Amino acid sequence: MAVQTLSERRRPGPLAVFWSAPSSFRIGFVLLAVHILLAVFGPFIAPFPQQQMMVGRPIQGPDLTHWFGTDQLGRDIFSRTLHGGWIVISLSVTGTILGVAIGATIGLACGYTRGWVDEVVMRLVEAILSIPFLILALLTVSMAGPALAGSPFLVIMVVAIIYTPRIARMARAAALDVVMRDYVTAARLRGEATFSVVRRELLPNVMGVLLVEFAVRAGYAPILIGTLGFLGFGMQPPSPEWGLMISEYRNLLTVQPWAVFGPGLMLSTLVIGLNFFTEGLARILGRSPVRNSK
Amino acid sequence: MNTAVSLILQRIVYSIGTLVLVSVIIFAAVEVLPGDVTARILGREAPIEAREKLRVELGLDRPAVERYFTWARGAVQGDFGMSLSARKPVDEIVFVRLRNTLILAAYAMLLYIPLSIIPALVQAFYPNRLPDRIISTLTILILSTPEFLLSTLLLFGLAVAFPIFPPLSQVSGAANPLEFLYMITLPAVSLAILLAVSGTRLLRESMIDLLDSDFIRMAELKGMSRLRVVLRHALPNALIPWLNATAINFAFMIGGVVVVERVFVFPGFGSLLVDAMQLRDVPLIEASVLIAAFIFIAVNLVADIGAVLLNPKLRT
Amino acid sequence: MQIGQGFKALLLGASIFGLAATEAMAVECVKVIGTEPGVPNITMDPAFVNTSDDSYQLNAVYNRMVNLDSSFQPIPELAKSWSVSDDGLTWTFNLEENVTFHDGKPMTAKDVVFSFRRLLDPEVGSPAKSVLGFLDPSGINAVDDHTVTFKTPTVVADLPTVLAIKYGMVVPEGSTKEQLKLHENGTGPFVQDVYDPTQTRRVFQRNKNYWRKGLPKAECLELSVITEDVTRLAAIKSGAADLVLQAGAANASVLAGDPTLKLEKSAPGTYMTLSMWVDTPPFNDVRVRQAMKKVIDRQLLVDTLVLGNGVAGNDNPVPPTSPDAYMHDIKPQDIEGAKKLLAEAGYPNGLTIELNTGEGSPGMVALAQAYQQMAALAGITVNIINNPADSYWDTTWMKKPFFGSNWSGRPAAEGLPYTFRSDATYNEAKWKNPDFDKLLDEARAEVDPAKRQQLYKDAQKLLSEDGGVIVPYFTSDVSVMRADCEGYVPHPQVPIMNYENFVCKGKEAQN
Repeated sequence: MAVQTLSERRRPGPLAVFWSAPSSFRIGFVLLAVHILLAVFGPFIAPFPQQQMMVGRPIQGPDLTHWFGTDQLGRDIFSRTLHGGWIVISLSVTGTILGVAIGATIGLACGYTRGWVDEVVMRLVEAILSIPFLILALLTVSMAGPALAGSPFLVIMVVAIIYTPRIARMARAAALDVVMRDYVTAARLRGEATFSVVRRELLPNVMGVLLVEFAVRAGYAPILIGTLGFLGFGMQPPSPEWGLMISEYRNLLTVQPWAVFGPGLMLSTLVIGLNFFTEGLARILGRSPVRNSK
Repeated sequence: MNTAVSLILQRIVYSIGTLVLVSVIIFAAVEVLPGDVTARILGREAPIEAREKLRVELGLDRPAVERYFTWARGAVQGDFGMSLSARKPVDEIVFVRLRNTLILAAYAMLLYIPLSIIPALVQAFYPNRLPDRIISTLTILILSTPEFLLSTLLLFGLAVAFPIFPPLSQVSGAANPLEFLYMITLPAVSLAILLAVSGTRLLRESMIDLLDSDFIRMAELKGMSRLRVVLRHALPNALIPWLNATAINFAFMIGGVVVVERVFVFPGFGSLLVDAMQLRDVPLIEASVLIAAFIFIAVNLVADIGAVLLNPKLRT
Repeated sequence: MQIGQGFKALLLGASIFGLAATEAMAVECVKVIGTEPGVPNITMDPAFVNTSDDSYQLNAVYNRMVNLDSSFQPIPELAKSWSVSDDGLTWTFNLEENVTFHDGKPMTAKDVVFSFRRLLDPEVGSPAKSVLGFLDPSGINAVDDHTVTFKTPTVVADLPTVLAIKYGMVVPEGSTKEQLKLHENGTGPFVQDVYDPTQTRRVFQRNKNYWRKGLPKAECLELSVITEDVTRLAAIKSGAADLVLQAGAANASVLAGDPTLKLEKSAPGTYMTLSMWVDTPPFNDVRVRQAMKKVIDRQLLVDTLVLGNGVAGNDNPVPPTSPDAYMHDIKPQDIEGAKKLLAEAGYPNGLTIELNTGEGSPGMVALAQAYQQMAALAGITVNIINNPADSYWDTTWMKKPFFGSNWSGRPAAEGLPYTFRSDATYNEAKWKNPDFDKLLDEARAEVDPAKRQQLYKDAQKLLSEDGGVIVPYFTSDVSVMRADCEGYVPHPQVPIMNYENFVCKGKEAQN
């Protein structure tokens, strides 16, 4: 205890801040850092080109050359897995950012202004929310047409479209909560400009909620993208997106399980990392990550 | 109480408005989709004349707006029309699938309740100690497993390696209700586990929050046993947000379990939705999406009313 | 809002389990699992066969007049023999006697005449018209109860082969498409028992009066389609299924080591194509087309993409088991030759093209990818455009200058005019070659089998060298069955299945 008191007098370095964070945050941070490093450098250290067929005998188990074995086309699964990382991470993050940005803008604007615009927009949000999300995904994919088919932009769009109404509803509730507070009402009555009220009162108060919401959504996005891939509405073969790889290699489960476990392990550790990180982040911000979702 | 009733009435009126909006959105969306129902029904080798013939037979040569209103007039009177592909009344088709799905959802719910409450109780009883940590890790592990992987593992584990349950949930062949349930055990377990982990996390979180509160501390100081505190005070209060989440999970199970349905060949509502969509079978799409939307809205309404009734503070 | 009757019952909570179908089953059914889903768009009407899912069930309940053997030669079914007049214009088919439809009515020549005229009737609107359009409905006539004649406007030397198409099943005279959509009335080995176009599980009972005595060997047949590879594996491994149709090459190798299972391979028949529009640059130059064909290592594709379950193709569509097939001089991979041809055609530095594909049939993307890698060796940069599987056949197929496709094997007499003649509806490459058309016409009119075969081969040689369609290999269909089952042999032509001899221990026909 004494040592800690001493160190508190000095300005704590980043390392000290890190060590004082909740353990879940630290585990999550490390897992994420490893994943990001692998995502960035993986394609360069991959032993084989990810799409090259017949770099090994088709369907063989792990050995020293092929750490996760090979698939039906004789492609090296380890190399494919390494190439998949940045696809999964970048799609998840951009899709979530887009969804949160659009959703938050709609929600905050509605919650702040209220009135008939709010009514109309919220009815629309409600209608879209009540359509099963897979149908929404399928509609988006079919409507985009061949020009965008299987492209990462489409997957980002689908993720954003699924997230937007959910975030909008949540952001609106958060905004309403803030707007109802006396000091905000006072500021508005004083005739302060909308922009400054939003900037000084609204945003700082909802930022925490949005941040946690973003992290929760980002943590689910890799699974969502994988599920879309599984159903054929997400990335298309030959993309090495992990969810797609797992679904493509499922039938090898009995003969070459590493084709599934390799990308599966990567996907799981990424999601676990994101979840721990979120939990820690939420605890630092004093919020619950669990209750904000859904 | 009067305000509550009028609030509920207002919500119901809004909900009907939402359903109308959904029907318009879906109709318009399917209308602009590339691809054509006649090509899908007849196959890619069908000559143009055959497709034109079918188009006229199905009444697709009339303008879209007219077709929508014909459909809507029928729907209001309870006639959802004929499926373009199966050539059977849409409500018959939807009824069978919906019944299957509701049974599956109910079964899964039955498993979900103990699966989500018991681990959370253990965690609340030993917060931040080994049992809590183990369960937390397990829940996060399952939470991070895509449902198609989890159900595949269950399939190979419990139907092939240890053949306890049938791999295929082909319920139309069930001779009696018991066999029906036996057949759908694997999908029910998959769904229950998938949803229970989020339920457990939610319960744990709220219970541990509550146990930290001064009120509970007081009770403990007064000499109440930990078990009693957890069961009598923490659990009932934590159940309110949990019930809300459970209701939403139930609604999700109606339209969103395509993956589990596909893996276990269960003739459910979700795959009907996707199949109808891929065939561009508009009457079938409209009816299924509306039912799913109706259930979503109804469940949310019930959950909101339930929250009001359960929470004394919100009662008027 | 008023709701449909079904939902009222639901809301009342009644009949939750009431509809669970109960069939009194003395003997368990043989359980057959298909791969390509059709529900809810499946039909019991042979005039509207679309997906394999339709064929799975139609082959159980109907008979064709003429069928094909595994080398695509016509064999008798409801017609026990046939002959052609000296001028080659009038075909006489002698029908089996003592054949009855499932409703008890005897099958006669009138039914056959009705069935084929129906396929040509614009009021019915069957897709079959795109193959049989050359027939004149008034030329199809019953001579007596068991004799049918087909009089063709010109000589069609392979008429029996053409009549064996997937639509060519015999239905009773007077059937309407409304009736047949939901309820079959065929002469086949099994009779419809439990059937609903919205349910993938169907049950068929043995036809006790089947005209082929002693058949079928199984008491009943339960059919369903499983779209998930992994679930099919689980089903056959656990014994929940007895036979998996169209199991696919990759699954076959996964299951090969399992002692409780048996694999049956068909002769190779199905093929994928990469088709180039010969009227669009750069494919309008035959040297470019030849270069595009030269870059392929065909045997390597067979070894990887279908794990050896197939044979190399030679850019013509006639399956190699057919005696009519031109399989001579399968093009070896020749990168230098391809480069030289490209240089001559004005592309010394290679060229860049777009290949449109999509999982319209499984494996099409993998083929495109393999092609991309092989073409790169000769300086051809192939950009793959991966289209949505869902709408591939409506929006991409035959609508782009270079695209992938998938075909079931067809005999020369049907396949060549169907997809390669100048005026063919499915002329994927827009290849219009008068010499080719002339060879086909001569072959169609040639009564001497040896000469006809030579004409077909000449036509295919021309197609292989000059045409715009790449046919890299033919695939064998693989079926998997439990070790205690026997009697099912997959056919190289996908829509042909024969369950007559299929039976498993303990599921034999009872008397």
